[in-house]
Amino acid sequence: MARERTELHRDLVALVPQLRRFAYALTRHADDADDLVQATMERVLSRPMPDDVELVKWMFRVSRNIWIDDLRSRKVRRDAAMDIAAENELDVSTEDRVAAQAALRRTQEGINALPEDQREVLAMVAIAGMAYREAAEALSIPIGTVMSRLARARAALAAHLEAAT
Amino acid sequence: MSERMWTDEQLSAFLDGELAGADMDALAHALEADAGLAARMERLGSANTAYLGAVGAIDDTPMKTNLKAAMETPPTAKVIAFKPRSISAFVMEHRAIAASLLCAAGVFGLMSTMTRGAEDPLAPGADGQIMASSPIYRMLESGRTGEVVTISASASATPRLTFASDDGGFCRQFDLVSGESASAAIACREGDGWKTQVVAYGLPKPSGDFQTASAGKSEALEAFLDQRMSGAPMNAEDEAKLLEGGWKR
Repeated sequence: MARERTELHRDLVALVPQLRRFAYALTRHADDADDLVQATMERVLSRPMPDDVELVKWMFRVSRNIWIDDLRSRKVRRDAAMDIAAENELDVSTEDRVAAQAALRRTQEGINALPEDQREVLAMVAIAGMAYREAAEALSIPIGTVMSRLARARAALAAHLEAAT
Repeated sequence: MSERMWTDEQLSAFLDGELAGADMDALAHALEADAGLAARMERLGSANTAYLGAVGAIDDTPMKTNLKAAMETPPTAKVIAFKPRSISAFVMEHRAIAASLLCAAGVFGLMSTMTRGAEDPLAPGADGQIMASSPIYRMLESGRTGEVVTISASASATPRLTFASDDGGFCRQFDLVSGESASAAIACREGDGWKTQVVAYGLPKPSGDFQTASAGKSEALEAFLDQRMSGAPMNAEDEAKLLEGGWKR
């Protein structure tokens, strides 16, 4: 049993970069993302996993549930002024880097402006790589709603980026 | 020539490889023939690429020490179960504070009527009851989250959060800005009225439409929410139903 958990831990560690992006897409804050990743690892390791599900999909499902059930309510109450662009102390010694930083910040603002339900679907499909059907099942919504939320999110983000140029 | 109309939903689904086979082929051909359609696709595709890039920025952000430690420490046979420290520890740490604040709310109600009097719109009556005639009461009853409600010539209040309390009732967190001072409070609906649960005075003034800065800087409110709010806050649609239905389930 211990051996199984050690293997599971090893597999989870290998998936952390992917999970971290998903967690960041949900939380929009690096600290919260890392908390969510850690909580996800702990929960996956401490609870039985269904036999018929891939670890990566199970991990995303657990992560989203923790976010919805435990962390999101705290997050929405918090001052959301900090974002990844502000946290990253990139070397801004060249114009390219300054421009890249500005573009990143602008995109981040656009993401922050999206409604929560659109951000969630975008994270599940574009980051976690879920099929529309899987996202629809996880969110208990029709596939058509998944499609429309994704399209609206991308169109809104495009409009936000265009407004900046 | 009959041109098929393609929606943003279909273009977006094409990006994800989620259109039905025949539609994938048809759209691929249409994109070759129609520059306008190709421009629309490029617009959505560019937004998607920018999104992936922004989220990918987390890869360059240093990982928190706790997470690093969790990654570097494989579980052993001695470990029975992992506890989600980052969540439960916070709640446990604040539970005592929250409990004492709950007790204090009633005392505060009595004290505030004696000391703060009518100039303080947040001053509740005995036992924290908010007078039905007060503008705060009306704001709680019918103000939408984010709506700025005028309380007096120099004060305004804004509901910030509506949630179903763990004990089955409804609660609202709101900000009150009066001149240069800001306060935040949580009131819960009990019977046909509203009762103040916790108040935080002397907070920084919130700025911007979406910020809940005042609450974020008050441990008292945070502690209360951690004890009484385990679910997500209410969305606008559900909140609107409650406002229209007089807070009946």
